[in-house]
Amino acid sequence: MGRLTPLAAPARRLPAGVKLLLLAAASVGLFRLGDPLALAAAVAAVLALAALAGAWSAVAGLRPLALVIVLSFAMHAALGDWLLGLVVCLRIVTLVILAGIVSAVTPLSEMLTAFERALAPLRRLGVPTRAVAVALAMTLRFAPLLAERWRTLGEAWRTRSPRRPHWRLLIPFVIGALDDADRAAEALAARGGFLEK
Amino acid sequence: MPKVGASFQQRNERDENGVNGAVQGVELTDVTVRRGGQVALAAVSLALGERRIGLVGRNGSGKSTLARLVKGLLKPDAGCVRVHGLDPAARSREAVACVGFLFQNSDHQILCPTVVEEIAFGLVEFGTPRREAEDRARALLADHAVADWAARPVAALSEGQRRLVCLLAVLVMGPRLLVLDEPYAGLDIPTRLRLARFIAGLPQQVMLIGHAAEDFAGFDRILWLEAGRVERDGPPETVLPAFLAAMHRLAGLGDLRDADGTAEATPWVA
Repeated sequence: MGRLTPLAAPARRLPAGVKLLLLAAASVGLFRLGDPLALAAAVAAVLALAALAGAWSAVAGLRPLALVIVLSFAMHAALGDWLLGLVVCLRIVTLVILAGIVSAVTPLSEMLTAFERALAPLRRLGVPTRAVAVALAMTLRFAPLLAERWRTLGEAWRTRSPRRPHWRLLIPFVIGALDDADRAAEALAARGGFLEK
Repeated sequence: MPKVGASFQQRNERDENGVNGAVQGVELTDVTVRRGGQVALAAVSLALGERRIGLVGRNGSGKSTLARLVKGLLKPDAGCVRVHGLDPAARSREAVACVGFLFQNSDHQILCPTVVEEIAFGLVEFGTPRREAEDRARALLADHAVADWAARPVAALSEGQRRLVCLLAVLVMGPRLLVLDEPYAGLDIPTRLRLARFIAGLPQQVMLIGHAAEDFAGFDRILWLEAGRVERDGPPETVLPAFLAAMHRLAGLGDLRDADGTAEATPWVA
């Protein structure tokens, strides 16, 4: 994965917290930038960064958003301000690519550690930060699992039905997800999750 | 899965001396469990001190109920469960740490997105700082010659690899008793044989649910459960042949169709 690109190693070595802070700073900067030419330059810059850091997967992250971007531009154009539409879309594209680069060059565990550290001051106010961190990790674990469940339900449907699967899959999906939740609670209990300390 | 981490060996030596003079192993006294209006265990009393204990029985016979009781995932409706003198359902730190539980389906056990986090999870929950816990998880992976798995997403592992990760995630917490719920289900033959060798080398007391005679090579004691009661209890060489013969007899009686081709009335599950 991008071993031969010049920025891959330093991008990975940079602490996750720094990368997240840079990302936050870049978002603020982008929202202060209103000139479409400057934003186009920003898009070019993040594309170059993605290439240098060996994180082309970040660009692929745009695909699910393509419709949103097109609709957003069409909406603005229909309302008579296509220039504003262009500005908004360029901002979204730049930010999505930038966020994609950060997640591509940052191991998940480092991201979670940075996140926990950022939450640490809240602990003094009595907020259970460990629970928040575990919930975040479990979300990352279960999102693909739920997608997989949806896919296998679709397969099960197609093996016995000539018609395309539709909303009726939602019922077994939700029941299955609730089952998963019960099992996850058991697995948490088995290894001391949220023990009273 | 070449060798067992040295830390487990040390732990075992300490265990053999006994802690606080508490009773060794598992003790059930008149334990009854009802699940969904049915009796899952009916006034069972057992004292289990052997190193290797096997649980056999049909689906719904009470094997999983017994395993869950010992881990404290279930509370008895009547009677008393003690593991090394502790009440597993009390959810005290000692009780949770004392018993390790391997779920039958790895996906039901895994809570974290990456291997190193999954193995470190229990340690972090017990108060080990995250960095130290992850270092120990990495060391454990290295002990088992799979150091390169650390950063991998669990979803990218095969079923056999996930099973090992689940087992390491339990072992890292240093349990004195391991409860394994059908650890060989769904594994290919080489993985199964390696896992069996791995389990055989563990210093812990092991309670294992299985179906085939080969699951219990080297075991000290087999409990055959039937309808929530202990049907037979003894060494594998006497209990297993009786169990297997009874199961084959049942399969013969429960043939799907009679000779004349009409559906048989014998139900699938008693």
